[in-house]
Amino acid sequence: MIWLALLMAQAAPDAAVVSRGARVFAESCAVGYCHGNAGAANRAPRLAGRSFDRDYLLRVTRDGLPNSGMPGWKERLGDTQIQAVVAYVMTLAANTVAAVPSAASGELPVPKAAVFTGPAEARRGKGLFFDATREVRCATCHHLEGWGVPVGPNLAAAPGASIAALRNPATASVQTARTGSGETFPALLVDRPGGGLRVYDLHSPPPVLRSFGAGEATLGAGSWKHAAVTAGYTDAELASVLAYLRWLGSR
Amino acid sequence: MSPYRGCFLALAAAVVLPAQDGATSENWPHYGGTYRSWRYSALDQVNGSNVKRLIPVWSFQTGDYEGGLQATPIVVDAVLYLSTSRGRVFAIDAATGAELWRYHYQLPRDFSSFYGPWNRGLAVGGGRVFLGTLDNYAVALDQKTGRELWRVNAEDARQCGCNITGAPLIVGDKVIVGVTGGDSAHRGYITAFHVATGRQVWRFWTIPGPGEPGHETWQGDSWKFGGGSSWMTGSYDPELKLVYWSVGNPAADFYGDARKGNNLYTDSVVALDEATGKLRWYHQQIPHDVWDFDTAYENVLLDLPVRGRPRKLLLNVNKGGITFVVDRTTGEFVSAWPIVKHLNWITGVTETGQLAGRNEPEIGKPKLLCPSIGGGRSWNHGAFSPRTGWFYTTALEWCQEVAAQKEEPVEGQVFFGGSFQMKHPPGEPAYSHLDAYEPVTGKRQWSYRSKYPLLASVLATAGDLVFTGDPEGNFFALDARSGGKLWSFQTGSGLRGSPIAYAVKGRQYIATPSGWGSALAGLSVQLWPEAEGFRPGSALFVFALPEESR
Repeated sequence: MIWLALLMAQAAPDAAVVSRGARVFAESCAVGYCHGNAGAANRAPRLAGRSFDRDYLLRVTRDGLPNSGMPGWKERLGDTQIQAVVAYVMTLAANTVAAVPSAASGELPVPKAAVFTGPAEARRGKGLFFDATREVRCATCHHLEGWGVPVGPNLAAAPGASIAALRNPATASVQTARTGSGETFPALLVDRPGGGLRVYDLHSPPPVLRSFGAGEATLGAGSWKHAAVTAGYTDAELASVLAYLRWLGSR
Repeated sequence: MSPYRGCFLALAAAVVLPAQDGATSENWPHYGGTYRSWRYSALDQVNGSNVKRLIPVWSFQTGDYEGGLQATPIVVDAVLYLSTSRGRVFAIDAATGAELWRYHYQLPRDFSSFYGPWNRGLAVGGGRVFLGTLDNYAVALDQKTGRELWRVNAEDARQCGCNITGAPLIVGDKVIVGVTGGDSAHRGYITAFHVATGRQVWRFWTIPGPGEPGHETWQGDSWKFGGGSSWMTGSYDPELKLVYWSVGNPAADFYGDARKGNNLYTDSVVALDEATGKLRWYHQQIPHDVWDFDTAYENVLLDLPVRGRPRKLLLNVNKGGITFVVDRTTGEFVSAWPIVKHLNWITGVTETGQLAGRNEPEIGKPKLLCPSIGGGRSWNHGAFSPRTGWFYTTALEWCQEVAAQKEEPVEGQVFFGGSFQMKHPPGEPAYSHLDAYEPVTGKRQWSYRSKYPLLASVLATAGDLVFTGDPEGNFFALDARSGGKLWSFQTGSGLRGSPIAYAVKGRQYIATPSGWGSALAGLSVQLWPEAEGFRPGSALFVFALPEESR
């Protein structure tokens, strides 16, 4: 009868843990358009009255669910909190909507954002790299740590030797595209599907991925300067960005 | 237009009738029908005397049913263009339903988003078809072949926690696109891209930055993460050269203590110079919103007399259940009127357009507020008929128990500041209605009642018909003058999209998306548990009179 004991142990989790989980749920999972109070359903699916595998819930809560609205919580919640909230969600299987707290306590702890472990200047650099208050920022064309648009090279792999090199690196891969209508623009070749041409148009940020059929555009020698798109950053700011890139590259 | 002129002249003696330039005819060229967003067709082949004989002539299954089918189809020169939740685009022979081409946008494999997945429609013009994507790209396709011509990223969706679900709007050589993100730690914007090249022409930030007028209406750094999404589609006045766009709620939705101030330009209609994107005027409906009552919906452009004086007006229904009418030349307040009975977040709107008696959510203490976050109406659009002179809109009588909570922003993450539980209104079960209103005074002309929330857009036609649908799959026609039901058809899945009318070779068609889904479809389950069993779908149904009876 060991299996029964195990089952009962699972069916009756520590009340304090469940209560902690209920609070995490109210503050993080029931909010807004998500799962609703006590998992009553909303934009996110109903959790009340359904049975879940505990390991599945743990995995989805930690890592999120690709191709859905469910984010991973491992960077916002500690593992104890995740364990607790999963324990609570397991209790919703019996549809205990009326028995659980229906509102948050109003004292949401400050969320645990992704912890940045690098030096202060690198942290500043990261902020500048992704600075959403700038219409043109490094991340408009470069991708790092899961954010940004991967048009230009991976800067962490080759951070550049100096601020000057960051501001105005060699851009030999940028060519000049000429279209059938005589339009020319600086272009970064992506591929040549079916004899056509796909290029990033670097005329002005943000870059545009443009597709041309066979014979609609040609590529020739280019003379594009990166300096125009870094003009919004001071040397001191680029020094911080460089520190961030070097720190990333060294990890 | 000539077949209708005589009829208008006859009526003109009795009523002052508005100009007709908001009407569509053979084509349905823009999201809102025309730039005026009337969702009114001048076609009258189908009318009260024969609507009972409407039959389905073709249907089209998209195969992409997650999130339902929420689009407005576009029709240009007998070709119908349709988009689906996850970025499929179809060009379809509008007379036969034959597929002419298809395009399937490939989302990144691991893509996930708090918003969506859904898509409300396309823009067609300049030989191109324009699509917004869930990962925040604007995409241009060749109108003849569906081949992709360009795509440009408005902002990395993972960083901003925003995406594009609304239909773009083409104005001249620009295609204008809004983004979601009003419930994320994000700063909203409206962007114009060049139709031919995809290059950015201008961007209007919906929250002013340091040094700009209005920045002082945000406390500290709250402007950086203050929401202000632009998730629906704007309107355009070619004479004034103004683009009208609605800006949604500030974030965090329910918790406002960290963003003290009026929070411009959230919950405002903004009028932008089409060439530069510069702000010409704004009208803020809800200063310092703490209810998530977006001013996000359609801007209906009407030329009507007010107290005997002809005015160029703009009508906008907001999520709080209030209709605001302003002068669209200046933004001056004209009138405001409610579309719902159960409304307790304010006691009213003053003669000058100010909110009176604000009833705000409290931290940690649940409070019954009406309407619910689902809105006194959802985004699904109303319609205006110049023949009746009335505006037709759906409305939702539902409430919620809401509690605010203190919350710190994390860039691109959900930033809500509270939770809620749907509730029935005091004294009666939740329900929905479709009403006809005199647009300036809000005087109600008739009301059609529905058990379940009406979440499909309204179509008005010169046949004096009003079309919409319900969550149970019924697509139906009402008499535009009396509200009486004249015809109904079971499409097999609930309606959440926008019906249109068009004509090919002299035959009038009525088309409606059918396919239940969306945030409010999920939310409805809290009040109507059986709604969880409402089947999803994604099909277009097209109706016409039988050939022999025309």
